[in-house]
Amino acid sequence: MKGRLALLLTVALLAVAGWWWQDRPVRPRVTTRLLMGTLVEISTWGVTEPVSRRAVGLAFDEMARIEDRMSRMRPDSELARINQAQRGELQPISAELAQVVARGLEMGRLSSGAFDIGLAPLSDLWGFSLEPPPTRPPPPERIADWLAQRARQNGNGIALGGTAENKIRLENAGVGLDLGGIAKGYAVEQAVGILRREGVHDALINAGGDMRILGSKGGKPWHVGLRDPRDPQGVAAILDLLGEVALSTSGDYERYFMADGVRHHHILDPKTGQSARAGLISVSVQAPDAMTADGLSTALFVLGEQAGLEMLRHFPGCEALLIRADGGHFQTPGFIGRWVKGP
Amino acid sequence: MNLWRLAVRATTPADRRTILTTALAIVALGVVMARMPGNRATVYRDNRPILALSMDRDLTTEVAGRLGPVKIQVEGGRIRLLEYDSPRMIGTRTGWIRDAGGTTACVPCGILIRVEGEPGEETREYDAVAH
Repeated sequence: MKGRLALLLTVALLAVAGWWWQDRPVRPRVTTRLLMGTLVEISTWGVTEPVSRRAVGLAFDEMARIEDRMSRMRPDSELARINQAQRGELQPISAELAQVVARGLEMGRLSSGAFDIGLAPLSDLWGFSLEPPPTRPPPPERIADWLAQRARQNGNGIALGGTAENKIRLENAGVGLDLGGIAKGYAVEQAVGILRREGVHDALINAGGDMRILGSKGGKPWHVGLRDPRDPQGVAAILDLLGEVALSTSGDYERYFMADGVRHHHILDPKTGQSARAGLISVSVQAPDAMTADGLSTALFVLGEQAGLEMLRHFPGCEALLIRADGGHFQTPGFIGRWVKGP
Repeated sequence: MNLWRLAVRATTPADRRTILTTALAIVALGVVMARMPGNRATVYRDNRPILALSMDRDLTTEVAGRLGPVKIQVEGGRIRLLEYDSPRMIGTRTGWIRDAGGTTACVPCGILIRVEGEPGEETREYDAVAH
């Protein structure tokens, strides 16, 4: 009798341990995919493995779908079709792409043109998305030609016929859609919607420079490092983020090359046709949604500290941390983060 | 207290030793599994698994990336991507990986390596790093 009870207790102990080991979310479940030209990582918390696997799989599928539609580098994407079409003529555009373009145009207006979704021809000149990456800047006369063409345009040369009409017109060869500064944020936000719908309420999506926080890790904040712009292995700030926060970082250190002692990077200034040089080397923006954070970090980088912070005033609930070329930094009072790099 | 007395009465000293040993073994196993580095890695191309590698045996091998062959090296229980000169090769900055859940990738090649298993809290200083 006693032996049977002991056996029963041992089996019960093993069963409880098995259940605990299987289902207790002691750490986030992390899944990684290569998407949108970067490494995308989704971490979930507080859900079982099957729920997490299904939700994350669907979220990745959604991001891939958006990449298929909005990537400039995919010749069969909807965006590429618009870029390849005759200039000056109205082209059909899906409601979804029109919505992202409209948001990009709005960002452009609020940043006085510093944020520009029409820079595909200039991006092509620089070739930062090519393999192998460039080692020399484009010839100055080609940039001058592009600037001259831009000067003849009406505004940024993009006319959207309203989302109801679903038409778009690109004015001349100097303009082409490049949603690199905003589409990733849109994709991340859509992925968040999928996770929520599938019952995941605590998650972190990290898509290169774009991050989105959802909930917590069992009541604790998600622990995020902000890369030191001049030390790939170091962090400049630590951010403990909870709830609904998007974080986007734009810097001169991810896609760049050095030529004659000058750093040429992929964030281009529409006014000069060159890499933006407004005294900043990294800009991080916290916002309620990833698309706003994505667009703002690029805009602020191009505008520089003074004009950038002025623009930020138009976006309630958005905060920024700016790292200057001299290594100094400034963060707005509501930015959640602790500078750890030193003075 | 009554429960404890009941349990003592209902079991022999040998039973109690068995139960205690089982409980200790479960705890020890949990600790070991949480700290154990991964010993297998999967290589993905365009997010599809193309190769499984044991990290117990040193070797250098090649897989076909989008832009040509990509070399992968396993040595001393760690793994890394080799020889593709691009700033977008995240692998060159990550270097060696060995812990469960660790990843390294060459983005333009479409190659991703992941060490099998879930990352332990102690192997990840941050939940994510913003670049």
